[in-house]
Amino acid sequence: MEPSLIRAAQSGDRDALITLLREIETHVYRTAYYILNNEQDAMDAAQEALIRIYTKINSYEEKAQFKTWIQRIVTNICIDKFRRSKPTVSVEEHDLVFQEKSNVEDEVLSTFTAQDIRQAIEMLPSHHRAVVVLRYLQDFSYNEIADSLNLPLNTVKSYLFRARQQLQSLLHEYQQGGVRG
Amino acid sequence: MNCQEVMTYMQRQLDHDLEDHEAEVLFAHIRHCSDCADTFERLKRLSLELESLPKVVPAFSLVDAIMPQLDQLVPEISAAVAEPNQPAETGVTSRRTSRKREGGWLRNVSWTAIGGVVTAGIVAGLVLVFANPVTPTKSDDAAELKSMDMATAASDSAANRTESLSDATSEEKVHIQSPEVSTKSVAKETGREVTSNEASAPDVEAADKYSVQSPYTDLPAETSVTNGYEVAPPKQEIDDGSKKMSETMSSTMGVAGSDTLQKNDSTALIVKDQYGEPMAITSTGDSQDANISNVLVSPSGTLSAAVVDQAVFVYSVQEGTVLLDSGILTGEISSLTWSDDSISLFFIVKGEDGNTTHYKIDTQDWSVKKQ
Repeated sequence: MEPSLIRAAQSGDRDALITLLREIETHVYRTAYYILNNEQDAMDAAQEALIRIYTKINSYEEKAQFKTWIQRIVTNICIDKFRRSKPTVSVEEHDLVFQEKSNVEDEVLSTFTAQDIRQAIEMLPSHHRAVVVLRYLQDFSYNEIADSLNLPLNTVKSYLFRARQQLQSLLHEYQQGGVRG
Repeated sequence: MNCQEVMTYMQRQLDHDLEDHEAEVLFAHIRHCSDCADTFERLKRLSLELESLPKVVPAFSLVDAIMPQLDQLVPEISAAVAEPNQPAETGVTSRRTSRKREGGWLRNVSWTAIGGVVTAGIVAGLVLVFANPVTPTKSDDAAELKSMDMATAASDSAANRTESLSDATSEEKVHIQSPEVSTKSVAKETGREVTSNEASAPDVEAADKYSVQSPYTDLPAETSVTNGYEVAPPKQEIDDGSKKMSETMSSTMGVAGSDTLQKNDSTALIVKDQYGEPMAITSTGDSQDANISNVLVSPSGTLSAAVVDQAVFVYSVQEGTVLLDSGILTGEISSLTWSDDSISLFFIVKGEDGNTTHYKIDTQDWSVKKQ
């Protein structure tokens, strides 16, 4: 993100602000998509985030990275949305995955599909999910994740480590389910 | 080093966070611990898979989709970018006219100057209010005039900025914008005072216009906008103070024989949510999620009436521009009805004493009359 573009947007250049929003919309959407695991919800959340960035552009301060600032806005909206809508994945949906898997023979050797991984991510608590998404979809460092989520560095690490262990055991369960079936 | 400690090293290795000597410890352990070797293999595979998740993109441009909403919003002013040395630019256009042309106008606005002026206005106004705790009574006009003089002397800009003070601090006060029409006697009839101040400095007016807040109030602290309230004492006091001051101004001017004209060029806007339902009001120096109810569109479809926090508003359906604000009405507002020709709006206010008062708003001269 061009610092000069951000400054122009902050100084009241509306065209610059719109250009800036266009540059970040994919990043904003991608985070929302993987946290919410739903295209429509992601569209809604990303649009809400962009509107908020538009109105709050002047509250961004250069001592923070712009990319962490926007990710903070979108993750807040997503976590808030998630809290309101669906606390857990329904059991039925979970079972369905197992049954689909049961027909695949070479399960042990195969890699997981993106769908499997998204399902597994969805099982994580919201902050763990956000940490994973920022680490892998935004390629953020520990520090950048900490800034985005307003969490201590050690908390970020422990969330990320635990999330990977959980994901791994969840995916391992899928596999086991496939083999058993 | 036990397997649990090695686990942390494995995790950090995935994030390229291990020092060379730590990596050596990790790999030495893995060579003779097959359990950890397996675990590390699985974690590495998982990490690779997470890295190769599809980089999804939105199906259509989100910015294009929200453009109509963005057109209705103005970025908030923040002290975060306010640097005192920034030169103040003129060329501030009114919100109303600027809406007509797309983009560009924001360039002309010096946010710094506006933020500073708002703050200055509030501070000056507070000096005025707290230094002169006047109680308006009709029988004491002379004293009020005197107190006004004192106030003016106390701060030479204070009087000019009383208007912006009441805007910025009075929670419910939203000035009426009636295009090309001066609204006479609205303030008197509704008991809510709006004062005319011909001497208002242009920059004060500019400050009025651009103090807009979005409907979002739940942002994290770091992104919250510095507005007037952060420098202001407890709100209730200000509200009381500014009301008193407005009343004082009004009665003073009444004595002087001038009409209490609505001469405020600021614009209030009804902010609509994504479904087109009104959800908040933005106004001068102050805005909030308003309690909006009884929304009623006129038969012609161009105007809409609504009850907003104990006041009746008329606003344009298209742009949400508030064209008339009845002022705070004490009692329960009900029975909003448009005349068939969309010229008159009728409503009833039921006071606490049970008496009902019928009102009529005429959208041709923007008068509010009791019937």
